[in-house]
Amino acid sequence: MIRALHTAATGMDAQSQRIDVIANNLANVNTTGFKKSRADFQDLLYQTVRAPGTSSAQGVAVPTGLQVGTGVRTAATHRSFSTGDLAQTGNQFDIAIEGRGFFQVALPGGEQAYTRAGNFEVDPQGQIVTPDGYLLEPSIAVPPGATAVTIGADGTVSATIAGETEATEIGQMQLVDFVNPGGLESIGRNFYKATTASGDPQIGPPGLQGLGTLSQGFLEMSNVKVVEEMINLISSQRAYEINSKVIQASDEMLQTTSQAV
Amino acid sequence: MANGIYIPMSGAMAAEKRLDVVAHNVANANTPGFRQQRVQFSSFLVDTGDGRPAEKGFVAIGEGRIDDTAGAIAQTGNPLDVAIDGAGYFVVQGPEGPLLTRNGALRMQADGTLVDAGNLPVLGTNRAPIRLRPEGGQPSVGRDGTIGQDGTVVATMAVVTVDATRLQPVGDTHLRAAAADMQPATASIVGGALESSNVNPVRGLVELVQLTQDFQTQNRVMNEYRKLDGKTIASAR
Repeated sequence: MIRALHTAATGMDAQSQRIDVIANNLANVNTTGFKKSRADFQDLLYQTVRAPGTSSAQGVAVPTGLQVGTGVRTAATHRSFSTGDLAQTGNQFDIAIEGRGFFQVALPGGEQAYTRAGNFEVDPQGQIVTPDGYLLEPSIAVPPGATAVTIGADGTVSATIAGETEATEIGQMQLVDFVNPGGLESIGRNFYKATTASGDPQIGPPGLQGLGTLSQGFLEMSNVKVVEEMINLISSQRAYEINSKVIQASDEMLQTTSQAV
Repeated sequence: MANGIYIPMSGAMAAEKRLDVVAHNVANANTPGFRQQRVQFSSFLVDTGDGRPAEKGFVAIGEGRIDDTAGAIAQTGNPLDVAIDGAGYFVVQGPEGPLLTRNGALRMQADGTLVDAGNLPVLGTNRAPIRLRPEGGQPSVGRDGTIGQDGTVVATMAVVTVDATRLQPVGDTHLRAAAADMQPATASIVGGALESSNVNPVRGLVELVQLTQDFQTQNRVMNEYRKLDGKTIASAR
C-alpha cells in the first residue's frame, strides 16, 4: 500500500520534470540555433514478491512469478540535433550550417564553446564575433574599408574592398563535429561544451568529412515543433493526473483499513 | 472465532498487490518501450479434512505477466531513435549476460560503441557489441536493422522474440530472459521513431476504481465477521 504511494510519487515527479523540459523547449521556440530536449524515462527496480519457478499452492512450479515494480525515473535529457528550418535574413554575417557541425567560439576564460547559432557581428577591431562579443575560431578579421563580405558554402571568406574590383580571400571558416553531439553539455547562451561523452572536437572545413555546408544570409531557427510539444504537454499533464489518482486511491484504501480497526 | 475472516483478508491483500502493480504501470505511462505488467491471482482450495469436498478459499499471491502488446510508435526525427514494428526485442549487453529492451533511444558513445538509453552496448546479430567508426559520420538505420555509415553496412542489430511468460523485468526498461528462450527474428525497424509505453491510462484508471471497490468490499466482509465474533462473545455471557 505504502509502496503504491511512493510509486505514484515517482510518476508525478517524472512527469513534472518532463513538463519542465517541454516548458524550456517552448520558451526557446524562436531562439536561433536552439536544439530541443526530451526527458527519457526508465522503469525502476522490481521487487520480487514471488520468484519464478517456486511451487504454487497446488504444488506446481509457477513459470513467471510476481515482480512488482517501484516506479519510474528520468534517466537522461536527450538533446535532438535535427536541423531547424532555415530563415533568410539577408544579413551578410548571418550564417547557417546545413548539415552536421558547430561553430567554435573562444570564451573569455580561454575555453572553447560550440554553437549552431550563426548570428555573428563584427567588433570594433573588425573581428567576427558572436552577439556576446566572443571571438569565432579560427578568428577572421574583416579589413577596414570592406564593402561586402562573401562566405562560400565551403567556408571561404572573401571581402571586397572599396575601390578594388577583385574580392580578396581573408580567411577560412572551420566547423567542428562530435561523435556523440547528444553528450555535449549545454551552458546556456546557445553554447555547448565538449565532454568525455561527446568525444573530442574534430575540426574540418565545411562540406568535407561529413560536415555540413554554410549558407550566408540565413539563420537556423530552433528545431522545436510547437504542435509536438503541445501533444507532449497534454500527455504529461494527463499522466500526472492519473498518478495523482493512484495516490488518492491508496489513501482511500489506507483510510478504509484504519477505520476498520 | 470465525476463521472465515482470513478469506476476505487475503482478498484485500490481493487488491493491495494489484494497486502496487497499477501504480507502477501508470507511473510508466510515458516511458518509451515500457511493457505493462498484469497480475493474475489464483484461489487456494481449502480442504477442511472432515470428509467434505474441498472448497474455494483464499486468494493466493498470483503471477505477474508482461503484457507484450505493442505501444504506439511516435515519430521523433532523431536518426538513432529506432522502434520495432511488430514482435521482438533489441538485445543489449547487460552486466550479467544479455538483456532485452524495446526502448530504441540509441546513441553513439565517443569510442563509437552503440548504446541504448541505459548505456548498455547494443548487440549485433553476431552477439557482439556494435561499434561504429567515430569519424564515420551520421549512422543510419535500415528497415531490416542494418546500421550503415557512409553508405556501407557496419552491423545488423539483433532482434529476438521471446515468449512473454518467460520475460522478467529488471528495471531501466530492460527485461531478462534465458538465452535458450531467445529466438532470432527478422523484425522491421522504423527509424526516427520511438515506441511509446503500452500502458493504457484509461484501463489503469478503471482498474484503480475496480480494485478500490474490491478492497472496500473485502473490508465490509471482514467487518461482518467481526460482528459475528462480537455476537458469539455476547451470547456466551
